[in-house]
Amino acid sequence: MDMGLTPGTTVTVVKSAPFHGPLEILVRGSRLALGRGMAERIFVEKER
Amino acid sequence: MTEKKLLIALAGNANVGKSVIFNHLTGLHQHIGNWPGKTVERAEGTLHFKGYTIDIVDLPGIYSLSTYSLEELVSRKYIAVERPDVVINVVDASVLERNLFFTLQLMELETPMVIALNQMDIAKSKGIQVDTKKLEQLLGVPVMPTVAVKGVGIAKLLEKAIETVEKNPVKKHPQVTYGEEVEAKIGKLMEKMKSVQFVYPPRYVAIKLLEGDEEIEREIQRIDPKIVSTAKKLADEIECIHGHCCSTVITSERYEAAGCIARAAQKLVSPIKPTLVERLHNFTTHKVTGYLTLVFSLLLIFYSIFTFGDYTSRLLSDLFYGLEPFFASAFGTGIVGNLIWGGVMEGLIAGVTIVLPYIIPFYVILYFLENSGYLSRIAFLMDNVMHKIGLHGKAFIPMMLGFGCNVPACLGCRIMETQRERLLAAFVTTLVPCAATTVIILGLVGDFLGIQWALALYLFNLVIIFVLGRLAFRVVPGEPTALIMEMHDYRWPHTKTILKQTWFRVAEFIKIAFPLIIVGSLVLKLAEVSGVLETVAAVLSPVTVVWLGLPAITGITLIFGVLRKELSLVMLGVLLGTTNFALVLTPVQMIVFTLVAMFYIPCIATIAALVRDFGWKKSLFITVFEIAFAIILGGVALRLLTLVL
Repeated sequence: MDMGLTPGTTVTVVKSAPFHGPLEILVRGSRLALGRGMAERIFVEKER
Repeated sequence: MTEKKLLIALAGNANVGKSVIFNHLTGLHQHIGNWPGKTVERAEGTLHFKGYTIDIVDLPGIYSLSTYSLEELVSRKYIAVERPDVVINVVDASVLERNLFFTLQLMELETPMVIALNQMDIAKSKGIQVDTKKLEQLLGVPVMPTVAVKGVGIAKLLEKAIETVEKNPVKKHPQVTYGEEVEAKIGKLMEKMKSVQFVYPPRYVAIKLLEGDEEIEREIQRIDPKIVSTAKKLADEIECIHGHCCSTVITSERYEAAGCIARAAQKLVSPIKPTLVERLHNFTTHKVTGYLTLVFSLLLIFYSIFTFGDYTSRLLSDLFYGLEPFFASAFGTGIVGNLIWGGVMEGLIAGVTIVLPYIIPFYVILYFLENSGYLSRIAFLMDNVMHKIGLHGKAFIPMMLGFGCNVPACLGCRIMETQRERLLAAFVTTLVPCAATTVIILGLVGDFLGIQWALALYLFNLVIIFVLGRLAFRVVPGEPTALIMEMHDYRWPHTKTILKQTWFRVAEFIKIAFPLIIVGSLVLKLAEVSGVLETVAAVLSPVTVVWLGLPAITGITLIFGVLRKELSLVMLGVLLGTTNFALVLTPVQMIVFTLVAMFYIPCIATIAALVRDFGWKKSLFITVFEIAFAIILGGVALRLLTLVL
């Protein structure tokens, strides 16, 4: 949450580490590594 | 003229160049310690500037001021209680929005502050132009652009900070205005708290209570429990209106405010195209090339450290042992001379021959990797492997350190977020075969049984780490935390900062390890001179001879190994009178001995490091557990191996 992942924020998933590893995402101009467990608990909508 | 004193605190997110600015300001007049009762580091320094004696405190790098980790608690408490004259908030211009989120929270603490808008060069290369004047105007706080790694703007920053103090330190900043509902609740709470005296400003307390901040809640509870219950009720109302929990609403709104300011103050001049650092990032986190790079760099690092360390270590040893005749002539070869040389000096030599050749290069490389940004990529790549033992990717870093020396590795566990994870990571780390253990594995099993056996032992060690790590994860109560960390852009690290960080680490190591190594070797020497050692060997023989099937003498050498693990092998050679171990040990005995040596105890310096961060009880538990485990494992291995070999 404090890292800027608040409801309604646009995130870009850049890639994920292999073997079910963490995701690399762009949020508010910074690059975050996000563990799978946490990523799975985030609900997103596709942006058009 | 009387000397004027100033207290300045540096605050900011992690990886914004805070320590570089700190180093620029203070030079070598700094010292690093721990915050009272915490494992969080505290760096302080002094400088003289324009007739002022300025104390500078470097607050730990943080992500925000909400209760998330120890670092944050320490920082906000410092600002609220110690009331520094001015806080310099270091902000990364290339990631403005995220950094301003923190700035806004600092402003809520109502402390006089100046913003150092750092890494302007990186921002520029990313095509981000920040309008300093506009930012200043929007925030109501003075902003100074800096490029810390090149020393640009540092003097001006300091001038600005002093000017802020001189001008009007109590000036109130404009504050974030939250949404209507939230503001209404804040107002109500502040009304309630009118009569309450508290170190934090009332508005800040109101916001934190609505966010459900545990520490503030606890403290207010003591003063007036009614306020806390009212806050809970109000927070529930907000949750009803917004459909999210109240802290989420507040964080979102604060981010919204940060975003607004950032967007207004910065201009994207060129479309973002993949730069060199971008390509480097992609290469080093790629699912094939990333792992190849990782393996290759780790091999390179360990190979170079071991080669360099081995060479220098021998050189230093020879040099020191050249002094032995002088000592013999000065103190005689009687008991006193023996104690001074064999106890104190050999302990000192043991210490020096670890520190100079191994620890120093190790830290230099480590900090290079950390400051450049590669460590976070390693954590990213290894996250998934580490999850198998219940820890996340960052825990790989202390483990990696452990292959060099367990002491810095245990201290390195501070990067984990919770105390539980720190303990788990430290436990796993003490099982990692360090350089000294490697000497035993290679020197005994590798030399006499062949390299394939040595590799098998290494592999076996990894399996054990995996199994015990998993077990500990189950046993120690608490929830695992997931990996969430920023991977900042690659950059060329600032050499001076690396050297300084290395120096402070090495000093810390010397402080922890040296007294113990010297006292330990003195005690052992005393035991040897007084003939207690034979008794010890006899007492231990049920374990060493009957259960482990080793010569009784190993009881003594394993005790020496507590001092420094490879001593258990060196002493074995001395006491058996030969280094051709094939003559005195069977292959099975060699393997059993090595296995026990690998696991039986973290060495004395590691125990000291554990005690420092986790207290006596936990350290003792880990130590006793590992001794018991090693003995059981050795005995079982003996019985199994005699069937095979």
